[in-house]
Amino acid sequence: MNDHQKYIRNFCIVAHIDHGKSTLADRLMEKTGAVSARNLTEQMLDNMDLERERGITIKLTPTRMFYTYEGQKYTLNLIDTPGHVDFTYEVSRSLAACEGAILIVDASQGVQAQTLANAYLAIDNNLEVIPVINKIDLPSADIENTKKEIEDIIGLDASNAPQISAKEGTNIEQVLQSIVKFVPAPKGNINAPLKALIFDSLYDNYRGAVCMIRVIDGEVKVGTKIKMMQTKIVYDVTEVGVFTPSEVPCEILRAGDVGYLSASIKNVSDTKVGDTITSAENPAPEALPGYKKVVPMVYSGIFPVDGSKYQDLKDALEKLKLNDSSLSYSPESSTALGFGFRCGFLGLLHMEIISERLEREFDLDLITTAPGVSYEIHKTNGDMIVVSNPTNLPSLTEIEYIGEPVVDLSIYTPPEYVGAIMDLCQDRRGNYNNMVYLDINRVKLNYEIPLNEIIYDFFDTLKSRSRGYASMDYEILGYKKSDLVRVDILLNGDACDALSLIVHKDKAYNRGRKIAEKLKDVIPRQMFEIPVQAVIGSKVIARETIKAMRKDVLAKCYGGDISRKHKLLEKQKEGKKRMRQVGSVEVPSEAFMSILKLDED
Amino acid sequence: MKKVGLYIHIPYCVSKCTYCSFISFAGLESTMQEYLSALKKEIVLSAKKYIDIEISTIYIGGGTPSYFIKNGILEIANCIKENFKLCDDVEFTAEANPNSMTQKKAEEFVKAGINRVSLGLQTANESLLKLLGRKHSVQNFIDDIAMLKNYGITNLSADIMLGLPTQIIGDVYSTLDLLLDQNIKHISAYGLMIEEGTLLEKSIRSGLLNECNEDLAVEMYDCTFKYLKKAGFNRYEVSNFAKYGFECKHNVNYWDRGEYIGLGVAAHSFVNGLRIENTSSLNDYITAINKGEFANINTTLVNEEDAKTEYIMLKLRKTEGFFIKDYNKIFNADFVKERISAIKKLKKFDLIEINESIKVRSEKFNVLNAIILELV
Repeated sequence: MNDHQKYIRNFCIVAHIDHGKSTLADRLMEKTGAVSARNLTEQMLDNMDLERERGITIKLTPTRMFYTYEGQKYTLNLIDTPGHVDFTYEVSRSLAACEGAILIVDASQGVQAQTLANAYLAIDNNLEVIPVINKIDLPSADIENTKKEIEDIIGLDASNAPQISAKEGTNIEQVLQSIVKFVPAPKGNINAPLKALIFDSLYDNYRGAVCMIRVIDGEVKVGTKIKMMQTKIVYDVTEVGVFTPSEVPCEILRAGDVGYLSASIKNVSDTKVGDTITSAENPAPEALPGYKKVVPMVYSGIFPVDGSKYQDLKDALEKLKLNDSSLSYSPESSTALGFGFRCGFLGLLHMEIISERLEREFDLDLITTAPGVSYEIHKTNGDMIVVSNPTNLPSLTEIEYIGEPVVDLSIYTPPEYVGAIMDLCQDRRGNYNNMVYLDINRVKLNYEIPLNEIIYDFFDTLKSRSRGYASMDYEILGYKKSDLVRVDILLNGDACDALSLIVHKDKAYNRGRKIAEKLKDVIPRQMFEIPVQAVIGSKVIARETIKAMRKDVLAKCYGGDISRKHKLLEKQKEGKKRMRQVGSVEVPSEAFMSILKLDED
Repeated sequence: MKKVGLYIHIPYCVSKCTYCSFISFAGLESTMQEYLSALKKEIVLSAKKYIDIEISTIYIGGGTPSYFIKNGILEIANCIKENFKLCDDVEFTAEANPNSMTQKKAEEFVKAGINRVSLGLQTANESLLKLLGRKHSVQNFIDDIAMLKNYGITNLSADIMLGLPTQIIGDVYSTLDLLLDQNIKHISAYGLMIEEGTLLEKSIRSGLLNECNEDLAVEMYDCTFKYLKKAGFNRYEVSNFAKYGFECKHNVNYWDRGEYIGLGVAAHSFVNGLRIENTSSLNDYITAINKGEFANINTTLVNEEDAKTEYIMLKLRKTEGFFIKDYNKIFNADFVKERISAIKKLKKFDLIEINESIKVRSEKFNVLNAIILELV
């Protein structure tokens, strides 16, 4: 029976963005006949439009392939991984489902930041890492130097690294051989109680939630009574199958196999990524290590531009939630923006992806408010409430103190950028904890830093200050007492709730001033002068003025062409409709989002 | 019998001005004869279609009517007179450009019965004329005025433009001074609109020229208003100024949402609640008319909501605005009740005057469009 595992290889591909991960995956499938070249839409695994467009993978799509080496048929299971800090946990679960990883390095670019971060993530998960040098067809390819970098910077032996061109299909065979030769076979115990790792789940209208699993020990088949070790809920398995990459039902999944199971599970949130599935009748004594409850870290308000589309937005969120258990939302209302939802996300990219999917797949026009975190408000009466919407902050007199989430931030960087990065962390209220030289070319910095300071432009700034080489990861430490205030924005004297934000006292003035300046630019001149004020309580901390509009006259109606003018007027009316009314001031939807980009200039 | 205006479009120019996005062609003189005969056919066709009407104003616009083929305007006028019934006191305007106004043309205009000429001066600054691509000098304009007066046409209007690139307030004053010197009774002062696809737009986009600063453009308009007011002109519409009794009846009819027939390429009609648009292709126009058909590409029945919008949008262009009871009667509605929140807002910011009539406050005409947008 153990022969079964002997000929299985479970692996993933990791790489810096654009180094050719998806293209290599396509070639491997083509070469093994998993998909014929004719049926291969470019980059088969990225099946969401959005993913294909952005060239990033968000959802993981596993694939089973067959490869015959020295007369022996092997089953190769490829598990693709997303590549962004927001999804680090999902990546780590995918890696935990594998025994090996192919690390692609672009021969023209060499080792890059994500190459490093991903390589270490794979090594941390005890995977056998196989370096592959890609894009050798490019005139700028420097294979020798790339090899040297892999050896010096990452510390992997690159002497036997396959040198390929995924684009042209050169030496793909070598990659397949390396997988068979170097990726260890699974070492599960087929006779032990069932233990299967959920590394992703998706929702299907007919079958309900479908779990993507890697069976570690034991076996599972139709009819098995299974139990989720976190939620303790028991289900009857209705279908098991494998990915070819399309789903094909099979009889049984055994230790070492990668596949899916469905069990009439109504809710995707009952299939938690990282959870262990075991047998209800013969349960494993303990779950697989590494389970973490994924909690939303970033919150923002999402509102339809057209207020009458509230129900559509609600339906759309419900549908997305079925597929994405990490998304959370609850209804919210704003005097400026009407009815909408406060949504919780894993991070900023996750937020962008969700709002983009809502707009694209459900054809909605949305206003997204500035992202924030949740705060613990300790009231003078001894109560503690959690607030994620600045408007819900109780009055200052009721607040004993506010706690904000802080994280342990790890930054990996080449030593030459340490100075610039330390400045950045300092500036974001970071407390220096530690610095370690991992090797001559790599430093790990640790800061304790408020989550609020790193949720939006921090990652981008980090990248630009380190020329793309630094990478980061963080872990929530908990809530910490902090000197925070709410800054409100008044337009012509009327508060605009959707623009309120909670910031550290020391940063309030600067923030208030920047927002006022930005709003002055994005709110069009109107028929009267508009003071824009940033206030803390009743104290004005910044003021700008939008001057009254001076000129707005339509051209003459020529030769009785009134319809042209009328059309123009209708168009302007439409534009006005998209504006939000704050007191007597009309605010374009973009204004609510523009304050997200304050620090870019 | 109801009174309607008649508009005739002559889509020819000696050359295209740099700001112009109207339907007019340079270099197609060879088609003029064909166009003339098509126009005459359309006059006959439409006279058959619209019975029981009386023409109160005729306006031959363009393009450049003064550039049209010899005796073309005369033939059109005769054809109109043969087929339509004209009011006794018909206002008959033709547009003219100083480069194409000749003795012969003036003679032809008089024979045709034209009693009002609108001259395109645009500015009295020679280098601005070049920038606009105008093919005439200031002196040409002065000569034409004298000549037209000689032929007995004294009801003269001039078009001028404000807010041109490189223009300064002084240019506006010297242009106005010239017009006052020439005893012009009607002035249309248009703020430059940079239209897509024009040469001027390209020059601005490529950075060759800079758009006139908004505040300066507003100041030019305010100066024009004040200067002409002092000289005895009434601003009867946002861009039109006239001595008492010299308002352009034809255009007033547009702003009163009155009815009119438009003939020729790209002309528009508004009769019996229908807005009709002719094709802007010279070829299509001639082909259709020669088949004995109208060359309409669009016919829209204006619904009540749109009619209200049009009424407000057009009427408020006039200084006198409109009587609320007129609106209420026409639409069987209550204007104030209908638009109370907009009215309150506009009142609060002192943009309109409202009692038995509603009108835009004199010094707020520069934001007329924003005011209209509130109300519709």
